[in-house]
Amino acid sequence: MGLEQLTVRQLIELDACTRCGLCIEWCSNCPEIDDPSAWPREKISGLKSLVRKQFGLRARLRGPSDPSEGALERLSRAVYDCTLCARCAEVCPVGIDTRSLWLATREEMVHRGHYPEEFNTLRETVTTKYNISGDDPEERLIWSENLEEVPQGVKGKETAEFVYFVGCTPSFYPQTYGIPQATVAVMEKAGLDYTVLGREERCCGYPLIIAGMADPVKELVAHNVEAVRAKGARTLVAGCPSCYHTWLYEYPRILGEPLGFEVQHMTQLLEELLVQGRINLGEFPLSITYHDPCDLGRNSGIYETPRNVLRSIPGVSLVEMEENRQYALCCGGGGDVAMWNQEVVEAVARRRLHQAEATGAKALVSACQQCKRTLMTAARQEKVRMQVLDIVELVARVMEE
Amino acid sequence: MRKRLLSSCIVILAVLLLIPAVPAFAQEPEEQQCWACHRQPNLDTVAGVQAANALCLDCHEDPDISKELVGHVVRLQVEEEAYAATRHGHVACVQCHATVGHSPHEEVAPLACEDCHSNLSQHIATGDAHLTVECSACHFETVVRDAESGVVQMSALDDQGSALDRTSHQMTDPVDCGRCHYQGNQVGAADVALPPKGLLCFACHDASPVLYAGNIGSGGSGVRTDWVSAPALLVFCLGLVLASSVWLRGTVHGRTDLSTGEKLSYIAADACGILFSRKIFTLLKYLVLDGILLRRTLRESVSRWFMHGLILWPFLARCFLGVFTWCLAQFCPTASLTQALVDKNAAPVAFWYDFLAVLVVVGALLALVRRAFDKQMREISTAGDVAITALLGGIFVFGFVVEGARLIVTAVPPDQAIYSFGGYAVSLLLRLLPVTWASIYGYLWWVHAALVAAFVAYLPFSKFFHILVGPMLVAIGGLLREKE
Repeated sequence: MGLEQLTVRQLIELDACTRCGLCIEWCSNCPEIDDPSAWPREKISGLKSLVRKQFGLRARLRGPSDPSEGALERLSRAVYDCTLCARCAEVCPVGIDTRSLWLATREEMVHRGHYPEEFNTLRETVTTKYNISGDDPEERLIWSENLEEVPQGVKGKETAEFVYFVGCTPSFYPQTYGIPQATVAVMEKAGLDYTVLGREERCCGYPLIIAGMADPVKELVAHNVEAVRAKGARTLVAGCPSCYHTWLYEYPRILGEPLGFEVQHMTQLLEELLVQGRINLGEFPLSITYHDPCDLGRNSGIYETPRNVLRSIPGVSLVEMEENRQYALCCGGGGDVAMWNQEVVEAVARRRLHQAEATGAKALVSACQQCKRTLMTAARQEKVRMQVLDIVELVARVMEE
Repeated sequence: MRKRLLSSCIVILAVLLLIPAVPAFAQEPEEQQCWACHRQPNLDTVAGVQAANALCLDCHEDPDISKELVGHVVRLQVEEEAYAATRHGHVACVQCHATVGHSPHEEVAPLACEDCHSNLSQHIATGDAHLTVECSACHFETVVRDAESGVVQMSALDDQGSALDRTSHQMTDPVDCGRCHYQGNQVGAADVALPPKGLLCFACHDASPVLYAGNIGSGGSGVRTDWVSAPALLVFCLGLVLASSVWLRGTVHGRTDLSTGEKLSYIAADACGILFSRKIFTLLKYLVLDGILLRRTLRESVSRWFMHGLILWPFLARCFLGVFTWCLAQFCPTASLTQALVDKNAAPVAFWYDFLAVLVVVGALLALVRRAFDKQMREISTAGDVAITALLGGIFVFGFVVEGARLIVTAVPPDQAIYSFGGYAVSLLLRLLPVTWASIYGYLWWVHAALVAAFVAYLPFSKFFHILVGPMLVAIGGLLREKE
């Protein structure tokens, strides 16, 4: 239940909002939604009013009351339209951790039954098929079928030093099959002792956590952690920034104990391999720009690692978009918004694509399969001749034999 | 030989003994003190006081002793028994009349009240307007304003112009503020007696943190309870209690099963863990950088930072000046810095207070202009946001009106008033209006005070709550980020 879970600090944050509106200026999706309710500032007001009605003076004297249906509806729409990119948290002068407030609001909305019905399907799919697409869990390795040769790591090993956690999107969405394919190519080239979990891999739970439906996630966490521990792995590598963030920050919290192995994002592994000289990159004379995924950048604080990897490609010239690093605009694909409001996703993606286009770069590189998917779709729709790549795909492409 | 030696010794001794007396002889006769010839008694003892007073009463017991003052013969007889029965009966005459022990025998300075009542707070408690009022003006019977110095002092004449008997040494008790504060008074006092600046006024002024100021006036003419701060602070505290009662519904350390008391003890333990460790320096660093210097705002927008800073920093500076002045008045009341700071007409003090207030007004105006002319700001502004910013600016603008009226009522000469440049400019405008400002001044003062009280009372219920909560949050946030 959202409100009951709010921390003292979060409740103080609601009172600390200065209503300055900086969050509105930086909100990724606000310009696409013609409704002030979507403004972060107004979401805080909405949540504050909800809290007051439950915990305030009148609630103490006469018992808790509820906001009007209309107010709940507006607040619900606003938080489910949010891509959870956390730019508002980054710019807030008083440092309000807005993203965690939006998550708490979503939980409260689920508790009250005020959420888009598409999320019921999501919960159903993830808890029965253990992935977000609803495909047969046995097909988890479908992306590997057109590899020239399926390596032993993908076929599955009893034990391995590294476990590559592929993630649902690259496993089932053909647009992103290239990411795990490139990842295993790099791992093979570097001679790593790795394996994937295959049918034993289940959704990390991130889509449900951010939907405000954290309850069924415990089971997914327990299963995944057990599967990785069974491999005796020293390191879990995730290509998906959301999986990475969830494994690193949410899993130990949900589990109530340390994982017992390291969690790395693919960009961190790539940097290590390059530093150790286990892979060498060939010339690639291309101007590229890098898009910071929200869950890797703002939410996990990794900005320079992917840039270091890109800079180590000879011939590559890295140009920054106007909004980069902690100010990077969201690709539009975050926050489960794609589950129910594709229009917002596409509109935000178009803006980001045009920011990339403005740099004059020939390729737009990210480090997230969802960013790749969203920006690639935008490039197609906008007829922008720009390659949209994941960083590991670029590395695999320029890797010397 | 022995005789010559003895006489030489006597001469040397006489010379040595006479050396200290040489300056006394060298002094001009008018600077001689009684104690140059009379042995100074120890005034710390009852016997000493009696001995000193006996010397005075040698002459002053004489019923015929008198002097001429402003054309009137004034009786100067003091009856020993009557004096002994007064409040100051145990005090030597020369302890109050500190300058009479000279030749010529004349009182050339005000009564030396501050030698014993060294704490200026009593006078600050009655308002700093009384800095040019001698103690005797209020504590004895009649007052007059010295046309030249502007000092309000005890009068030698009564209302009918007859010479007053000033020898009874009976003090007026309690003080009657209405003796000056009435319509048409000649001493530059407002028509109504105003309360001392209270606790809330510290936000911008040198004030007094006394919610109940004691018996400083009679018949309701001297307001004793801080009716500005008390109700405002009551509502303010109520707001804080309500807000914190909501905050304490939150979880602590991820636990939902704790009672309020347990939560408070966890929070107190965490707070102690920060306050009594090196973390306090990190906390203070973020408090100063992000809470006061607004680094996070500067990072996002220079114009916002500048505008917000114009409101915050001068406000903090005025608050600091006020509290600093009060501390000085408490702990070193006679220091020249204290004397300079408590006088709001003193050039540097007047200038700085006005300059800082002008900055706040400019900051508030910029905020309002931005909201009006910046398209994006206009879109995201609500009427409530505009109203409360206007209220903040309005309080300061109104402060200048009150200051302008004060400069007129207390007849501060232009060459001094000019340093209060904001108030002085307003006073020039106010003079154009056909209004008796001494009558209006009290109302203006109350409106200004009421606006501040309303603002403070409303603070925990408004977006301005961030003034208190924001710096705290941003400092703790910085500490936690650094920990991660």
